[in-house]
Amino acid sequence: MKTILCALLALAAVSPLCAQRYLLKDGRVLNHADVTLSGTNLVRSVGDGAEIAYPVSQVIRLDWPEPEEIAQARELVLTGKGAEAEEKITPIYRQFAPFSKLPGSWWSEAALIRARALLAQEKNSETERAARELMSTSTDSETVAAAQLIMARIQMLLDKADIADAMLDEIMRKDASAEIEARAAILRGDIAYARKDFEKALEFYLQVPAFYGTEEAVMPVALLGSARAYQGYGDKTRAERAYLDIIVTYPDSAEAAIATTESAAL
Amino acid sequence: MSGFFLMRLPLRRFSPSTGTARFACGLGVAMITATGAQAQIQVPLPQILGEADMQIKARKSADAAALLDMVLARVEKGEPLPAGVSLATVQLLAANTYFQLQNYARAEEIGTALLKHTTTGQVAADARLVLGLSLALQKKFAEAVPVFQALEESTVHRDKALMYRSMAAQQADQPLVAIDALNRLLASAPRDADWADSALTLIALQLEQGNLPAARRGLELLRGSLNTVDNLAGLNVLSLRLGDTLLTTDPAGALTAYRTVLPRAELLRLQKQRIDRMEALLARQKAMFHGSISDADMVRRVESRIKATKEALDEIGKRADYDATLFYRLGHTFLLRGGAWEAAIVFERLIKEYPQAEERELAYAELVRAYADSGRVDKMRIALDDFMRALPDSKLLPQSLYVAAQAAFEKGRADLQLEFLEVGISRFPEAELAEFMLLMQANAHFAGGRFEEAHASASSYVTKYPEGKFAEDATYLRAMATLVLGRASDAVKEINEYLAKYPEGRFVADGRYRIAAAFYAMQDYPAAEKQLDAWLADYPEGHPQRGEAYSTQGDVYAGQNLIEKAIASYRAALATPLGDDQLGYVLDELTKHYQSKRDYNAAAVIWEDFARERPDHPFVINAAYWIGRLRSREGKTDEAIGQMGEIARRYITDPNRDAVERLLTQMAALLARNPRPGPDGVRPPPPSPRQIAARIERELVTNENHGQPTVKARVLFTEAEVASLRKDAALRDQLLARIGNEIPPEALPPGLLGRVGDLLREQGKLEAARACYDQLVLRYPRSMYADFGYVGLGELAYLAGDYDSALVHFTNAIDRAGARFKLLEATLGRAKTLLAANRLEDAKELFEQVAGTRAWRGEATAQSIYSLGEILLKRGSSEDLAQAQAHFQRVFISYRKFTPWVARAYLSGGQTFEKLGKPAEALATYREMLRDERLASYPETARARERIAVLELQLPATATASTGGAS
Repeated sequence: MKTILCALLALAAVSPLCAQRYLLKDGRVLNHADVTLSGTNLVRSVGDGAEIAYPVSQVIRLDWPEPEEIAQARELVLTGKGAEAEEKITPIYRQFAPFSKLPGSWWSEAALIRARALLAQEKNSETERAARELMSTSTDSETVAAAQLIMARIQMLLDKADIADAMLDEIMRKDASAEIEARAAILRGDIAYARKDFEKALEFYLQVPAFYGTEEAVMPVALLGSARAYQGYGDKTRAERAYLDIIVTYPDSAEAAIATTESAAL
Repeated sequence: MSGFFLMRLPLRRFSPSTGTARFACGLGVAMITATGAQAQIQVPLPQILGEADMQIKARKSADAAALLDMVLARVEKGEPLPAGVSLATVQLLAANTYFQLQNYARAEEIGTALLKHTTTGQVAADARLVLGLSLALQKKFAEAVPVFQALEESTVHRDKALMYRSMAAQQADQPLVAIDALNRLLASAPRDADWADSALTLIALQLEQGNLPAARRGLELLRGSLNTVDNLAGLNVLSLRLGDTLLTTDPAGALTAYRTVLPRAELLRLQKQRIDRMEALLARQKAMFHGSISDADMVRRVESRIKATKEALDEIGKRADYDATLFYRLGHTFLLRGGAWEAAIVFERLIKEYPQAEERELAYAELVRAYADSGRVDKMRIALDDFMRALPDSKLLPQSLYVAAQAAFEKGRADLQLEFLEVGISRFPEAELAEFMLLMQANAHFAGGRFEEAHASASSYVTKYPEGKFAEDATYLRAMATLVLGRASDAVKEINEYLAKYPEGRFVADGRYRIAAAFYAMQDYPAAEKQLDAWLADYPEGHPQRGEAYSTQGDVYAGQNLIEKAIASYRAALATPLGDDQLGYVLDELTKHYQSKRDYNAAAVIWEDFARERPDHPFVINAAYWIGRLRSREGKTDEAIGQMGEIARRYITDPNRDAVERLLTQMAALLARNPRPGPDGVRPPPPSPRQIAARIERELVTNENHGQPTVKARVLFTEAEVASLRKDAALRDQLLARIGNEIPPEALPPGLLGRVGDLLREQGKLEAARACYDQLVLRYPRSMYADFGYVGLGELAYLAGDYDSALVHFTNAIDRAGARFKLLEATLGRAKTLLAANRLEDAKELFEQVAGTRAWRGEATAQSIYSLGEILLKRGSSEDLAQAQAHFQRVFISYRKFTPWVARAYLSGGQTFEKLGKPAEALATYREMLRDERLASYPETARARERIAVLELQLPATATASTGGAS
């Protein structure tokens, strides 16, 4: 995408969209290609072995297109390949770690994907650490809310549904994006499902297709939850329809494979 | 074009203060000399071109344009351009410069001239871009279309050419051309903001063209790349339009469209982000403006996108009811698509968040329907109550009440159905649906056995709507209600009224038959006989009621003691297709009459014929039962066992045939009997268990089924049944335990799974028991034995302290499985689980129910009374404690047989006395407990002993010597 975009814009000039630059406090701009990160400095070679060091603390903003690994890792998480996603995203997570709080940095995004990749592998304590790091480091309220959701999910996995519920109340007290609201609804559905309150579970899961129809990333998860809850509720016809919806609409998702197995057992 | 910018020529500098026109004139044509004399000095073209280049870089386009015009004029006169500079590049630069100056006519003129001599290559492509845009900006859209089409050949400008062609074609009222260009663009262009803009345009065009499937496909394509869409507000408006257009013809498409629409808050949040993003991009573009046409073009596009977005946002901002409208559309479409649960969620939110919205009335009505469609009648009732409270005069209420009544009927909630109908009929007597509701009410009363009410409703209908759509139904229903009420004479009159009014009616045959039945009920056998003869003469052989008529004819003859004729009629009935109820009745009547004649053989032969002719009918097991019994009455027990074995073998390998166990139980009853005395009057010794086992083996096991686990289980079961009938409980349990230990649960029929599971549970083999219960409820949820499974799982969950699950299982035993065998255990299970979960009021109600049921008198009563005491003890007021004490005393006085509860009652009784501050009575109670030797091994006794030791230290010797208190 980036390559094509740059080609398209070649008529104009070098597009800022294609840049990988560090903007310093004094207005100077360093191209990523010209510097290396050494300790807490960005170091630029000026010939004959001479170098100029710019402290990382002088960087105020990054001008950087989205690394393609982010989209790739996000996709891997969606398809349930947690280990591969973790492997793909960890270098990006590390690369942007020194600039984690700066505008234009991709650290928050990478750290969030990494936390989700860990969660997908059921590495609960690592996930918890990753979520805590995000909550304390990220400056983006959306990412913090997403990390809090991961924490709530961990509580649920640890059989502490009441704590998870309380955390969700806290998260939803603030203005949240549709994605966060959709994920929270799914988690609440999971909690109700674990309590075998299938009607309540359905009322949470189905909020996603009802109100968050554009949140494609979480849709198969919500539909799978609804299929199981329908089954628990005793409505096999609707359960089968929900399974079919996942299989047909989201064939590449991790949930599609589960739906195929579970619907066969209906 | 960029190559041209790189051209550098040696230039002379001029004062920047020099005026533009004069400056251009001076450079190109003449110079004023110091002496004032005019001299024509021709400045070389390379120098002019270089200066033009500098003016462009200095963003002085007008100066550059004048210079370039000068160059072009001189070239036209024949002056050659410098080496390496072509006319086409100069023309392109001039056209471009005029374009920047917004002098599109001149840009068009120069571009057109260029393309006359240069039609291929990058310069030509760039020129087409300038020309096309110049034409478009002069509103010469139709002329611009072919220019952009030619530009599509350029690999560099292809995407832009397609985009501009589509724009120009739209303006030139050539929608098909625009659609073609956009389709081609979307197929290959990278998915960015321009792509998303184009997709939006395409959807709008397809919508305008009425090409709805294509519009829907476009939207689905866009849904996959929503992050590229900057104009979310525009997308919302378009999606709503598309949804509304598709709603009647393609609800699935409409739903996809509506689901793309964002609620207002989310839209505003995201749109703000997008506008910020666009404005940042615009600022960068402007800052980096190089004067190229691409720069200008990009700036213009971003600006127009921001403008379009703001306009769409304004449109949305003007609509205060935006979310309510969206939610109604969403809910309505979900409902149309069978998404009743989703619809209910959406309507609930609409009503909660927009209680005054115009859509609320429709939302209420559809919420009721959504709950009805999803079978949630309790929620439906709440919604209906809210609806009636909020909008008591709504014209939609009768419809909602009717829908609710139907749903309640489907869920078997006759109480609710009648309630809704009553409200509907009484509050909306003039509504169109009142007529439907009145008939439904009559039917509901009739189905619920409230025949007086059914009669009243049907009469009301006939009076109010004598010529109504359902007048015939109501008239006949009224007569049937009268008949069932036992007023046979009135029924005959009413049926005759029906026959007179509807001689060709749907119920004539039934009515005539019912008249005969009414005469039979009045014991007017001749009249009944006459009616039935006429009926059988008038209706053909294949008439579905013929068998019933023969059966009643048999009854009529039997009523007159004409047994032979009765038997003939029943046999005639047997030759017709009969429902299972009727078939069972006729077979039983025949058996009864043959037995009354002591013709056991004839009766047995009927059942044997039946078993042979209909080997798969569920009554085959009944047949085996009767064959065994009748042949046994003939003294042919051995033959009976053989015939039962023959029928059992047909199904013995199939665990799904749970009636086999009933047959085996009957066979076991015959096998357990002591042999009759022989001719010498000596009764032979009863067969040993080994001999019985051998006989069972012989009857049930064949070479084909030998070793099959289900067969093995059934053989052991039959042996266990014999042992049970012979009061050999040890052998019975040993045999049942072998089933549990030797046969996997998958091979066990439902009738055995529950019993084996219970035995394993009693033996403490909880996981093995769980496997049996799981198998029972998962594989045979509809089996008559399913309650064994649910109760067993409930007990296991209770033991594990998982009270939520236990409650669900015990409830399922009653609600799902019907608790045919385990109603007491399920009820008691629920009660004790609720008590354990500290839900004292709910638990109390159930324990009282158990304690008050005479049929359950026994240990369950002792447990319930004890538990009621425990509930009072937990409440803890002094009045409660006194009542608790009374309960405990009742257990150890009236239910002494049930020692586990007696032990608990004594201990709790003592503890209650202690709480009441009566240590002496407590001590007496504990001592009394110790005197009952049967309780010595219970843990409660050890606890009592501890309390005695403590209390003896506290009380004076005189008090400790007392023996009163407990009882």
